[in-house]
Amino acid sequence: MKVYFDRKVLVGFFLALGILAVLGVYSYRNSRESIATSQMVARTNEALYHIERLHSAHLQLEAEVMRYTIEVDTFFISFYHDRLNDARIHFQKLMEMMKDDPAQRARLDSIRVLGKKKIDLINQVIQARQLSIDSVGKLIPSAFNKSLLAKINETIEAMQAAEKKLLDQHILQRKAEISKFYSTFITLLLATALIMIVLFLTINSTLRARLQAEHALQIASKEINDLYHNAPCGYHSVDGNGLIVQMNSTWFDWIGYNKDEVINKMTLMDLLTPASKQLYTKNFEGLKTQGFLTNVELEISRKNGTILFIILNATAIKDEHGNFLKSRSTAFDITDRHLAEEKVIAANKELEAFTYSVSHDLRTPLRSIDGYSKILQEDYSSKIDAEANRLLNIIRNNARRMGELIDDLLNFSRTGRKEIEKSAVNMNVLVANIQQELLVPEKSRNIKFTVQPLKDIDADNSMMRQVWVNLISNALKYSRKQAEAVIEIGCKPEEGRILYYIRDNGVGFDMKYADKLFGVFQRLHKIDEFEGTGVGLALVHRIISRHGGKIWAEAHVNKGATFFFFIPTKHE
Amino acid sequence: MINNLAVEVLLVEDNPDDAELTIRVLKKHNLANNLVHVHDGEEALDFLFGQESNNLPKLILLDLKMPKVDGIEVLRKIKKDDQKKIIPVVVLTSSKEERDVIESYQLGVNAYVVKPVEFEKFVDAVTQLGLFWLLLNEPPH
Repeated sequence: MKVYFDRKVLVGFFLALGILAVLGVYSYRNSRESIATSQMVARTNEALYHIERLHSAHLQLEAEVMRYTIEVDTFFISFYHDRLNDARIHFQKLMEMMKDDPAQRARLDSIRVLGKKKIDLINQVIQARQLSIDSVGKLIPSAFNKSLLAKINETIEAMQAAEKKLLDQHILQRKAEISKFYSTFITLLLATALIMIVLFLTINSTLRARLQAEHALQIASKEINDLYHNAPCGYHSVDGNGLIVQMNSTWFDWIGYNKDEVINKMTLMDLLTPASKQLYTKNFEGLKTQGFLTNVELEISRKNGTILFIILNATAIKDEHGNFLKSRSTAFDITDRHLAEEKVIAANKELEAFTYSVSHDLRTPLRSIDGYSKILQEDYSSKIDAEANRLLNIIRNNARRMGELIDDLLNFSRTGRKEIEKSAVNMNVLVANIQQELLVPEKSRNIKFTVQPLKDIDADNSMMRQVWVNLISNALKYSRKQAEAVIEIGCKPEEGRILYYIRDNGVGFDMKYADKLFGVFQRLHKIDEFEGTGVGLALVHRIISRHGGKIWAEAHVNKGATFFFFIPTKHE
Repeated sequence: MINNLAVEVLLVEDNPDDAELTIRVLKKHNLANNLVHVHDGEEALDFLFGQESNNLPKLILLDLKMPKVDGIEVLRKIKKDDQKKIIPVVVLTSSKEERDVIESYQLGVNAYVVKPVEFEKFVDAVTQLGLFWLLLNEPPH
């Protein structure tokens, strides 16, 4: 579009220029021609003048000769010579001027011949005049003289007529030339004007379009500027030395410094707390070498001394040689989040202190209850009867159970807080080890324990261990009453996931209580039937949930139970 | 206190009941003949680092959670001292907290034993501890 306009303008411009050049050349040539024609007119006029003078000299001479013949005076002789001289001069001029005109030359030649005859005649008159006046009277009015006179006049008139005709021709030619010049000149001038008008309109519309585009650009740039400066996050750029070369208003609002204090004067390092400086230095080097920097949490020291917590992301802008030019950095204010995190950390610390106390201080008295009951049974065996012994046993059982409850509860609480450290867990090895450990105390039982090949899983190894320990312990526990306990572990793909399962042929449970299965301290069996604290499955559920997975069970009363679980892979 | 005989066991325990149970088990196996019981970390440090002290017990049984100076601090002082650091120190505590276990081992504890709630298990643990560290273990001379 733009190229088209430019080409059009260029073509028009050169066309106009070409026409102007043609006009120039034409005008020059015309003026040259005009000068030539004028010269020709002048020359013709000059010739006419000389012819006139020649004629007048001849006529005067004729008149003087007539007078001389009648009244003799000596003055005539000198006059005669003067006129003759005059005639000669003009004749010579005409000869020069008409050397290219054969017709006129022929006339001049005849004038020369006639002139000589005339001179001879005049000389005869002069000589005769000196002899006698009578003879003179016969010479001049002679027929010869009359015919000579007529011939000369005739010839001169012919010459005059020829020259006049030439003059008329020149003038006509001049007029034709001028009229042709004017029409051509005006046509070309009009064409130029037309081109100029088209050019003007074209340039004008192009200019208008450009102005409109500039205006639109200004609006867009204003909008982008507004977006940059009033974004809900901080934008800035630093150069290779870390100097801040650009920064948006959001930043300035955050930190309390103004533009003049920061731009090209401060580095981001200057704004950081001492604690963040080292971290930033390391990451800034990474930005320059790797070209990016991701989610770096930094502390900014505001002008008023308070601290702003930000999360920084940046990419590097490099030149064509790969040299670092500046950063394109984005900062988010995470002060609120950080304060919330600090609160969570404080709450966690409190919880930790609390659980520490629980683990230490609640257990100690239980040990004393159990210990001293036992001592009572040992040291006073002769003094207490069977019923007292039974009662002491109840005390001791409950103390132990309380101990188990505390242990399980602490374990449960710890699992909820512990960081998950994922790695590839070899489930075959893990299950085989646990199976071996847990089957040792069950040697007397008849157990058919099968483990199908298991797929590896991406999870926390120690937590996965806890999951299998609890699930396998449960399967062993609740299948205790079967003549032959059948336990099967395996895995199968389902809906793109790997589903692990453990099936037993134990007492199972009623599915209407399935929702209570994974609750803390929830038990579906009597304590004197199956021991336990009701924390085991809750713990398993918590571990699986924290890995983002799911666990559920299918069971029938006295027909066994199957537990299924999956943990999503990294890609989900 | 038994001053003239070389002290064999230093029991650092603030809970008198736990201390009594521990001493009872050790006595049963004749392992508590030269036992000194102190009630907190400060007393333990006084006993070990006091002005006239030249005490180098064969074994220190150390509780962690105690008033004034806790067990971790006592352990740190013992293991920093060139002379005392060769004394075997066994932490005997109710705490199962992992950070206690890790910190104790980082400071150079010789064993970390969690006191079981069940008395029989407690008896087993203390008996084995006493037998191992006082009779089987060969300390440097």
